[in-house]
Amino acid sequence: MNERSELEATLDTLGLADGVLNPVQPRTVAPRSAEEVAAILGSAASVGVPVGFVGSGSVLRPFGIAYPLVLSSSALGGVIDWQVDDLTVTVGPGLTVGELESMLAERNQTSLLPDADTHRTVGGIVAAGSSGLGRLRYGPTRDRVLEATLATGYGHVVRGGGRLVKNVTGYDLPRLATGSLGSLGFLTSVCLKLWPRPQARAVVAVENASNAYATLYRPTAVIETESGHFAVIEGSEADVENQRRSIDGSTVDPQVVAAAIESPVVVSVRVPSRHVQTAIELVADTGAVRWNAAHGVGTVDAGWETLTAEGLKTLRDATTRLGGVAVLERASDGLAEADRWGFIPSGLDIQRRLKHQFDPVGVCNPGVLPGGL
Amino acid sequence: MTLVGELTALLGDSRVRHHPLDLLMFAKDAGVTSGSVLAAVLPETTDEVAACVRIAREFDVPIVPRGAGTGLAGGAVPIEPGLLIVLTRINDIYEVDEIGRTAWVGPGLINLDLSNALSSAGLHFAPDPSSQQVSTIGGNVGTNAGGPHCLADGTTVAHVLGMEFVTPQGEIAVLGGEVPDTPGLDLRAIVVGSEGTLGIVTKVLVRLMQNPPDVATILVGFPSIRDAAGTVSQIIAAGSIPAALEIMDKGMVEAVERFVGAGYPLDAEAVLLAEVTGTAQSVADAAALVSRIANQNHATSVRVAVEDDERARLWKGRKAAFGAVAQKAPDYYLHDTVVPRTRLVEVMTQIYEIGERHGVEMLNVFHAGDGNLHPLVAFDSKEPGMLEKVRAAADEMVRVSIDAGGSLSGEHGIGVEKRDLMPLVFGESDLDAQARIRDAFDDRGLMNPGKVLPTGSRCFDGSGVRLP
Repeated sequence: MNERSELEATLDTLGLADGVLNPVQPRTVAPRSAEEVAAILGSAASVGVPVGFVGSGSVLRPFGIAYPLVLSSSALGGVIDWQVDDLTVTVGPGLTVGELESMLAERNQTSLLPDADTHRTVGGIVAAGSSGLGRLRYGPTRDRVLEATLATGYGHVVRGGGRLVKNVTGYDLPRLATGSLGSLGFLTSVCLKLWPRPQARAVVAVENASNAYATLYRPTAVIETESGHFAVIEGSEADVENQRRSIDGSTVDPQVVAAAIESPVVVSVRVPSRHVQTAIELVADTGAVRWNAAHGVGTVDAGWETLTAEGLKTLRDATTRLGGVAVLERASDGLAEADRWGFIPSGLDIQRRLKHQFDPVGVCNPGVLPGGL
Repeated sequence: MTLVGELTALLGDSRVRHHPLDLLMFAKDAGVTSGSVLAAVLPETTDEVAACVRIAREFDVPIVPRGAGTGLAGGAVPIEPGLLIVLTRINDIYEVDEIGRTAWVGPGLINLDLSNALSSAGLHFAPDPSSQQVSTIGGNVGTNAGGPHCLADGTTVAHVLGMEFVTPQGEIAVLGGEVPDTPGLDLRAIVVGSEGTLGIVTKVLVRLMQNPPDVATILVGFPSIRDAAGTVSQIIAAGSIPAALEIMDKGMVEAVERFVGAGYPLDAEAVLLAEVTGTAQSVADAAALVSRIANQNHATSVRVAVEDDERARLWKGRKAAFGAVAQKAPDYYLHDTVVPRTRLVEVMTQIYEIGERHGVEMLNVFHAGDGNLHPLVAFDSKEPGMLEKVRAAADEMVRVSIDAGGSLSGEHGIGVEKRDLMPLVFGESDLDAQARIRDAFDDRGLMNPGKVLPTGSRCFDGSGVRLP
């Protein structure tokens, strides 16, 4: 009997895998229920085996941590409860955003989740805390996660929040889980607040994004890319037309602001939103070939053909001077060993204790958070 | 030295209150629960707050932070004899970023004072609890306060980007901030709504919203609550989320009219107050939609106000609702349950039935758009046995809300009043997870003990094994 036998026995009992787990060749299994995830994590904790979590695989994994076992959400898709008239939907983490949005579109609703990559899973998007194009107007994804169920690192299934659009009952576990990258547990379901789709939407090219941001009343987005400045506006047909005229813009293909950045190196530069313009200059100066900057939000997602470790450091130092952070979202070989975050958050002690409370042994995606948590 | 001696050495006599009269005054908030205060301190800086926390810790004394004391759930009432840290003197607006639309403010700043100070910049702070003329931003953060305009814009947590925070150990940390999605766990989100059980917020970075270019406020009278609630559901189903959708029943309308004379229709069984905001075109579209749907649902009167003073008068009626109750009875007991919007009518019918069966006087005003009910029982606490009777009726009202898929609180918080009802909503594993969050912040259990979580919530040890 080796030290991993209890975990291996659990996987065997669940019919998910047999044989010996081996960190050199991680095995990916797809549990079918929250209880199965909890049983696996409980067994992993009892033998101290780290477990990686994966949705569509789009989130960069921390360097240098070998997980003998990876849990996939692929068998936990599906819609659990869609309350059309209450504008809420509860889904499994493995449902892709493409599947979710095409279902919701039938009733003229949207989750507002980022959908440039339709293969990303709802669980992965929520765990990563990624927000969509309409963040300026509608707020971040975190503000629309109404209920979350987690299988924790101590092998329990816990639920926080509720399937209600307004709720302050107990600590806000759904918001805490959002963006936690699986560090507290594996998301086994989420309830999202939905919005009606607008009657009309237009992407218009404008002379100057800063001016459009200052002039328009609650635009959906004001985006600056390497190819131009754009405002995304919504409303009734007449309203969209009035707004377009007020900023003297011309309607363009919506793809110009929606396309994902596919460069070999992608960095998400996040700054106080008044510094967006400076952050755009920073990424351009360090050789970025593509960028998508959200005015009023403070994110500049940028792509490089190549970026050296020194180039990343230069970018990070300058971002820090603006009070921001530069997060590595995709790395080519030259950056394989780079720290994803380059940032230590304030309150790290509290973060460490929270992680310990939910994952006492450290089996849930260890190393994914800044500070090595 | 004694607790009071050390605090006095730190803050001076005038900022440490321990006279029996002071202690009596600070022993209550706007709810019905009374507590026990050892001393109340009035720090003026974050460092002073941190020093007070360290002194309390040295004496092993519970710490309760307090703003204006307008909470309705007993959140700011020390139920074990404790030190009250009153934050009303940390009330400045430190920095306003008009481009990024954010501001750093003190927790003691009054909610409405912030929006008034920003009006020349065309900005406002969206959460607008009825208490906004007196309640503080810090208190709003503590309870994750809401208000009528949270329908479209969300409660306080959506408008707090960061905070300076004194931990239960007396250390100072900055949580969240101006950077979108600060990497790491979102401690900011957990602290908002934690009712002072995780630490003390000493500075708040708020998100500011643009003032809308156009606004219309629509007052509709209906022959029944059912018609009013049906109108609300149909407006949202039609793809429109107005800025606010509020319903008041006949009893409340009568009380309000006698109190402030807002011009509400006295012949209606229910009144809907809707507000639509945005560009001129979108306001015209939305106002037409609201009027059309209201008429289809048997509206007896529809009044559209676009001038500021007329709109203000209509809102005065809504905001004065709780104050107006004083004419009916000296005390009121209020719950804050949330139900799925589509089950409003069914739950309201049950709530009226419960009130009638217990023979208590009920008035209703609620945030219909997001299903947030405020069944209010007016009573006189001097009448023997009355509070118990009222609590029993209110308890039943909570249960019917939960049975309909609802929750305990939409914006007032749990405090001590709803603490023991938490197991109606959460299982023992869920409550244990909540207790773990608390333990991660507060190693000695000194921050506002006895609030939010029922005793014994922590029921599993570190490895997940049940505690004896």
